[in-house]
Amino acid sequence: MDLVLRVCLLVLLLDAPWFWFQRVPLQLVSGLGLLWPAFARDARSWALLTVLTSWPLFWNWPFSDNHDYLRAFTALSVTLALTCAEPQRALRTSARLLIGGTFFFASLWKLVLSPDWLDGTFFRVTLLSDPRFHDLAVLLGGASWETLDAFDTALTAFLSTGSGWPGAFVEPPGLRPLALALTAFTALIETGIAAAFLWPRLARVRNVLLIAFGATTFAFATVRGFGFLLMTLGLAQCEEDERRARIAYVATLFLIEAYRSVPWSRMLIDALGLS
Amino acid sequence: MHRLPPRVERRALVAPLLLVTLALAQLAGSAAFRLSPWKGGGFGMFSTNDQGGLRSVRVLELSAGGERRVALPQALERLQSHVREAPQRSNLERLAAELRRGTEGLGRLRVEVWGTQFSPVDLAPERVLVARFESR
Repeated sequence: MDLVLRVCLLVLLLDAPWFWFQRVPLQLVSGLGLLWPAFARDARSWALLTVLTSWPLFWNWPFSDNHDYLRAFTALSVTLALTCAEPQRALRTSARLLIGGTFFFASLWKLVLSPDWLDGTFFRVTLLSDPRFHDLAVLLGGASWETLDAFDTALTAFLSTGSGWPGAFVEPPGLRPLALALTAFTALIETGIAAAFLWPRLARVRNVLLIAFGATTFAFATVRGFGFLLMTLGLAQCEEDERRARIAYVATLFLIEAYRSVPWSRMLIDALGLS
Repeated sequence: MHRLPPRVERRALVAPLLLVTLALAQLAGSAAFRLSPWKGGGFGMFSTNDQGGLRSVRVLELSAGGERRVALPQALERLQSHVREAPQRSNLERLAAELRRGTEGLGRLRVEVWGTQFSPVDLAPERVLVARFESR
């Protein structure tokens, strides 16, 4: 339990909200918990952390990202678990259901509700328009920087000036297969995680799937906060005897940080002469 | 199989139940007033191109002679972003009211929120109307 509390506090400290008046109090309380173990084990400290992670959701409405909500749910889970007779067990249950619920709704949106995800259109556009995916588009999609710039310029003009779309834009041939591969991979792993965490019969593959998701998805989609929280919840739901899984969750958490702070994909692009 | 004491079980379910409740509320908001699937705690991020960044807000002044586009001042940028993400009637109304407050003599206004749909064939974007409100 202590390891989970420490990792959770570290995550709250490292990935706090954007505005300083929301971030600083949260970092102060999280830092205090890291330095003073008794404070970290007190449900009242976590109640305070729950308040500090929750009120920005109201203040920032509707701009908060999904992981901002997950952060507040995580703090609430720890608070309530610490008031239980068996805190570790209660937190394990909460963490498992939070992961399952997150991936259930993520899969529902992607596979059922979205009109442009399943056919690969979402990833084709995202690879071209979202700078976080540009390295992937160049490395595996055969896109050139000129193509990405041309798409960006045309889309910006389309959105801001109301101009038309230049008919001359040609999608790189490798982009569609890459988008379809990403779509298939995401569909399989996200529905797999939802099923594994919500259906006890698939419990054996829970850790493998969630760690694989963390180690692959966040290599490009550098939504650090979401990755951190998922690995923390993964760690929290481990059974007593799953020591290797616990180590893997913590290692993957640091890997997610490394993905963000080391420009590895740009270095690879340079090494391959694709720049 | 050993069962958890009921009290422990119930407390452990509070946060997951909140997650489900909020995600369902977000689904309802998305259906009712086109709340962006990326926002609101429904876990729809990275599921669609229908997001605030690909939506735009247009305000038109309507008169007998036709319609003219009204420029949105920098001061209303946050409200404009709010309208893009959550284009519910009250937000569109508020944007029109704030515009009137800053610009004297404005006539009938129409606030429109447009989204972007990409062709699955050649990715050519097309504007689609997300929400519209007319204020007198």
